[in-house]
Amino acid sequence: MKKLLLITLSILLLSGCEDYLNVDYSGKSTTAGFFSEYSGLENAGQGLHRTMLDFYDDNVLFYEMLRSDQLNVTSSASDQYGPLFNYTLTPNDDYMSRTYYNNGYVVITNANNILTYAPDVKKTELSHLADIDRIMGYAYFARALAHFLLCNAYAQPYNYTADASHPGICVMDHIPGFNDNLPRNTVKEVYDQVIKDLKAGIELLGDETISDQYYASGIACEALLARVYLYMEDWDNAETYSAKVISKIPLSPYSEYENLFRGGPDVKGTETILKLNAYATTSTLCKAFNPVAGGQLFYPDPVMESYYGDDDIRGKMLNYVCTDADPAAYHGLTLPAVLKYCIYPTNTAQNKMVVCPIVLRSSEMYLIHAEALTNKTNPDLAGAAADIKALEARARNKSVDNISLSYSNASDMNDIIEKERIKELDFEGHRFFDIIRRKKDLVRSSTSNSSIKKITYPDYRFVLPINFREIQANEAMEQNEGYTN
Amino acid sequence: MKKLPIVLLAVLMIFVSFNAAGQTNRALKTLSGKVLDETGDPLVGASVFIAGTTTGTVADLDGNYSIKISKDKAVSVTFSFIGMKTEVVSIPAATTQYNIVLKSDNSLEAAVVSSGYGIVQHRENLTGAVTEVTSDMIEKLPAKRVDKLLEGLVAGLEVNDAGVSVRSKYHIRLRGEGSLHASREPLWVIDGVPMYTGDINGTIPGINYETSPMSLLTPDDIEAISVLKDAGTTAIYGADGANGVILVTTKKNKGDGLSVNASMKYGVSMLDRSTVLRTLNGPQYLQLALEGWVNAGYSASTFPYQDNAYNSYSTTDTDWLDVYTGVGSTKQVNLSIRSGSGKNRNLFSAAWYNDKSIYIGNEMSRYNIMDRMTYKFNDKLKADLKFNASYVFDEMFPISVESIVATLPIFTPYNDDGSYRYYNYFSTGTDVYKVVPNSFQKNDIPDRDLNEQNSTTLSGNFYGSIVYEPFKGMELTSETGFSALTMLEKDYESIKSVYEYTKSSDVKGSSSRNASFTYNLTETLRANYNATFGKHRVTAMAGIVWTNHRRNSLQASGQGFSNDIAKEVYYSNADHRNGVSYGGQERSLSYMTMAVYTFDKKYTVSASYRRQGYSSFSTYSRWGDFASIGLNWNAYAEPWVKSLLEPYVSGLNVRISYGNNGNSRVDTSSSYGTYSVSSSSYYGGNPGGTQEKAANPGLSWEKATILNGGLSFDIFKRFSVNIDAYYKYTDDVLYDGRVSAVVTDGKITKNVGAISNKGVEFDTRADIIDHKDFGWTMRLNGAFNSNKIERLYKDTYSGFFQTLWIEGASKNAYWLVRWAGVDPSNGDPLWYDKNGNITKVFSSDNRVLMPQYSNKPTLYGGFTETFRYKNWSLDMRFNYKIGGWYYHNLHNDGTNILTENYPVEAMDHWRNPGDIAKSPKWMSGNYRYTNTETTRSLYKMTSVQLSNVSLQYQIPERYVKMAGVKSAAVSLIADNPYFWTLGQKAGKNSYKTIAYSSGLTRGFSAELSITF
Repeated sequence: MKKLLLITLSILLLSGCEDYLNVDYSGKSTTAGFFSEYSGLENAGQGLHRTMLDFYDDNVLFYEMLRSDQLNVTSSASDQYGPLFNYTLTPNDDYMSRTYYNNGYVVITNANNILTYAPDVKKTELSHLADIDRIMGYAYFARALAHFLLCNAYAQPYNYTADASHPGICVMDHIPGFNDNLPRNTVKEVYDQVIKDLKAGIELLGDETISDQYYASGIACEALLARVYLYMEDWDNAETYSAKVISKIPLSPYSEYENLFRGGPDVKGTETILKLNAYATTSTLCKAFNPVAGGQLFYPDPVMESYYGDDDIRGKMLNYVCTDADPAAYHGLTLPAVLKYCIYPTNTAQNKMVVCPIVLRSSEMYLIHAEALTNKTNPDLAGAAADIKALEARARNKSVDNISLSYSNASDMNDIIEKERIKELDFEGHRFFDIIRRKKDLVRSSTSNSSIKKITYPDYRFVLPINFREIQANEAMEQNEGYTN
Repeated sequence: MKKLPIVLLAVLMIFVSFNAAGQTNRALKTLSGKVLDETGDPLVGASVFIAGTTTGTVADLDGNYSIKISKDKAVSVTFSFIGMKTEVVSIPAATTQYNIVLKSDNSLEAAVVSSGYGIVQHRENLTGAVTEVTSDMIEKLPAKRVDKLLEGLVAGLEVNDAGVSVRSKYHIRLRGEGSLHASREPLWVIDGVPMYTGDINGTIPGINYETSPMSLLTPDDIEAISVLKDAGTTAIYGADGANGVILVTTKKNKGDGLSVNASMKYGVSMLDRSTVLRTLNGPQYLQLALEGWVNAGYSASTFPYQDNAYNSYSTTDTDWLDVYTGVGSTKQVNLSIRSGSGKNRNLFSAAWYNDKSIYIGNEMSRYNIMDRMTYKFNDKLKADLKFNASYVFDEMFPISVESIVATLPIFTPYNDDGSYRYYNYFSTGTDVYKVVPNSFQKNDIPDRDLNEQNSTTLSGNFYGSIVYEPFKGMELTSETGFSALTMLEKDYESIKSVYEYTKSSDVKGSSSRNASFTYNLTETLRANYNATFGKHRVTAMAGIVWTNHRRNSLQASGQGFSNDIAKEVYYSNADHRNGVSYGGQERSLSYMTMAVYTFDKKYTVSASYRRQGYSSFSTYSRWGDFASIGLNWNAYAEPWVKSLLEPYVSGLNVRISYGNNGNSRVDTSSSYGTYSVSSSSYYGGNPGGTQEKAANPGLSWEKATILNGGLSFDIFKRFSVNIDAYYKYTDDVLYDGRVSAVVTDGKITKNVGAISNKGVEFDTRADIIDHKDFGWTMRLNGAFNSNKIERLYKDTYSGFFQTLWIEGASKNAYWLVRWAGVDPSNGDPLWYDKNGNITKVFSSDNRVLMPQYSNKPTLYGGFTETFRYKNWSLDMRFNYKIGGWYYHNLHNDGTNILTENYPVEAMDHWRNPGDIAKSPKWMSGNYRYTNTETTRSLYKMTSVQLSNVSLQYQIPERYVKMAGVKSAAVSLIADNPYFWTLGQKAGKNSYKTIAYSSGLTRGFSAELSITF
């Protein structure tokens, strides 16, 4: 009797083992389930670009614009954007102090998920090996871009210390655990990681052509590398990589120039290296700059117009001439506006309110190339001048021969380049970083409506405070010098 | 892990093979024989003792005993067995052979307490805190929902109306709130099978306005409910026991022969208007609207509500409550048939219940059938099988009373010609008076009449247990519970509803169809052993439980209908159709054991252990260990105590238990992380996926540790008193908190802190008069509870408008800006700032934490009065609350007077310099924060509610016998006849008019019950 009991019970007991608790999650949206096959990875690649777009659409572009010397803020926007614009931001301010950080790390998190799960997908999805490589390439690019942008916003420029040993941001090249120690790395370590990722990206994506400018590519990796080396003042590499890109991606001609920015999602543009596709999204950029849609946040500082000659299309793109396509109340008006972010009112209704921000384009490569040639050990000022002339000629619809530049040394050339960068790349996320990496003071014009007109380099306010939430949640996190928690 | 069951088994075997040592003496003879039960089965382990000594033995596997007793004279021998009447037999000097049959002791059934898994403990030796509710305490209550029945009957149990609409929803809380974010609902166990009561929010996934699983059971099938509150009894329920466990035992047939019972109940119900918010009538409203308008700086000539060809405002005074309510009714028919013949017994029951709400458009019909068979195959094998099914059709119109009473009384639901009113005509400008049509979105009458909104619920349950009894005292049980729940919810918004009719889009009418399928399987295998060896009494159990829960839901919706006839999504505009589906699964596996040992009926120790694994937690924290220990000292069994207390006090026993349990009911995606594909992650129109929640592999269950102490005693054998005090510490409380944004941007569910709850509960019963013809019994219970946030992760966002979570403070304390009244000189609102200075500027920063204002009552509970006179009996049930504050805006400043009606308190506002008024100067459209997070919105909750009165007359047998009826009874029942609150005043608002979001429904019904 007892034996029978024992046997029966033992059988019953042993049948309940740990495996019973491993519930099959495939088909569910758990992260592991999502990445269990190629389609999930493909979706993640799209989603990753969306995170970059979301990061750019507000944080990346607005941050630079509000910190630099090109923009004025409308009265209706002053509440939200005032602290940034007037340099009164504190670690308690959510807007930018936290949102820039979080949206940047969202890109990194999504990239890390792809890079973690993709190798496993490769084992089973043998027919998609090339596609998987491509998506991993996207992830390397995105991770590099986000680290680079975050580091520039939260850390002083690379050349702030001689060996870039000042605090950067936390480098994250894997999926971290909740209890991991997440301290800041040095700026050098961040840049090293960025370079490593971009080179890995080139490896996976190839560097011959761009098949679609709405997605990261090997050439985009090269172009970003050129910018990274420029910020590092590694002139030789900056020259090498910008030259590589220039050789493959020509400038958009004069006739296409305005369309490059204002054509909406249907227009990618000849010189575009990477543009983020905002199709069917609610674009913050578009609303922020459109003077006739209601709710305009920003317009150019009137001083900007004085930088351009009368024949420069880029100067004309600082005013919005209302047409019949605009609401009747605006007919006949000319309003100050950044046309780069004002879609043609004639665009289809669905695309009227979306702006696709440009991340990289060939014109920037010309400027990097020129700056590298000017500052390298054996300067090539004529070469630099040729780059500048190409941009001026295109903008003024002239031939290169009709453009004259006067310079007598590298310092002159650097001034020319700085001005050309203002003219060509205004409102595209460069100017503020140009000021601080050149260790110059921020000087705003008399027509700026900011309450602060001058900040002398160096200054703690040239970087964002780490948000108090991050300080609280991450014990290893150190606040930027100058800010108090 | 795998060793554990073997160990348990070994422990069991030791009990089995335990034998009390025999006694040897010279002048002795051997008395032997068998101890049997009434059916002739041997009673293994029955004790056989020489009366008054510790000399004795126990019966073996065949019921045989042998004991040495004196051969010179007659000896008294005591035969006893758990659950049987003890016999003391005088054995004559010559007798050496004596067989005895012990009869089962029915009175013992009342003296034992079940805590599930086949474990019964004697009440006087109970180590834990258990409250029992028997069928006679609930049979006269409204049969709509099982959870609501328990209100006021169980000390420490709160039933809170969580209603946002007239579709009532209740939260059950046992001993306060031991969690922040995970489910705080107790675990319901029906006949040993955990019941699925919805996800962590108590809702069925995929369904918007579900019929609660709590309304699927018919109370008529319930025999008893045990509410387990301490760790000693709940730890064995492991990861689901932290919020308390409610064990429901359904009826089964215990007798032979055929018996049929039928009962019918019919009742009408109406709204108790004194419990609904009282708002301004038409003329009062118009007066205040105009005053607000003028005070806001506009000219009376541009006042919007001036009579015009379409709206005659000055003559309209619509009582919107009248428009939406009517007379409700309840109808109930129950039938049960018991049949049995020794080995096979059957109980069949069928019930129909129909509840037509006083809120027109809400009607529920429930059909239940149940069949329960108990078989006794042979002496060692028996089975208990139960099938039941419920079908509920629920017609819904989920409007909120808050919205009804805020509708302007100067509007009418219909136009003069009787058609629905879609527009009201009034001016909307401030400078120019120009009448324009404005759509009347608050007119829900077309929705009520024309929309289709209902849910159909079908639930099927199977319960089966097979018990094998290899020898008396040992039972091997397999218990299987399977339940399937399907719900279909239909929601069609008519093209003639105000919203659809007046919207500018030509895509009109919208339909959604939601379906949910859940199934649960629970399998329990356990071995129970009960035995008494002399003065030792042992109850032991070991077992395994598997559970498997699966759920799926489908939702389809579509817009754009050409008419109201085809309401299905299929007929909607193809460009406006959407569909989604979801699914999920959880499993758990547990090993458990429990043992209770009592020595000499005086000292009892109980211990339990459960190890539970749960699939929702990742492998790092999948398993949880839950254990408890309990002690009871039955002092009254000690002669010295007895002599000390008699005759005043009897039955004194004290108990203490300590243990832990968990709460696994969390969002199951939390530990794995999720990716979501949604339009916010699309890129360039291509489907994109982004991380939604980061994986939190370290996530683990909340761990509750409970210390409970209690004592019970009787005074003059008339008053019984039961007091329990507890301290509950919940650690690793789950909440959505932040981690470094480097890990994830969003919040993640994590273990953020600890909460403690402590309290005292009492439960008393007084049999004041107990005469053959007349009786008066009173029951009173109450509970004090207080909680404290012991530890909170620093970044847990904790400002919730009116309360604040902060370390060291109660979770229930209000956090408000102190109201300082109205400036008599100009009617401006005044507040106190943080430092106690009067200020005219409102700031949320001036909120102060006020422990003296708690949103929970200090003391709450219920009492019942039962009178009996000959064939009559009268029952009265009360619930009460003492202390505590309720937050509700009654006083206003006129901000929204043009769009919503206000409580009558609006009349009392500042008008002229020198006025001491409750409300500031009346001004429309001028937001002055006077109703924002302020102490002036607090009302005392002290109240007593007479929730049920029932009068029953048992028709004397002599009258019914000739009709072939065994017994018959008639009852008259009143539900919610009266509600009293502190500070109530006729014509004014007080806690009385805001305590119940939909008011109280007063019902009167009559019931006839006949047994053939």
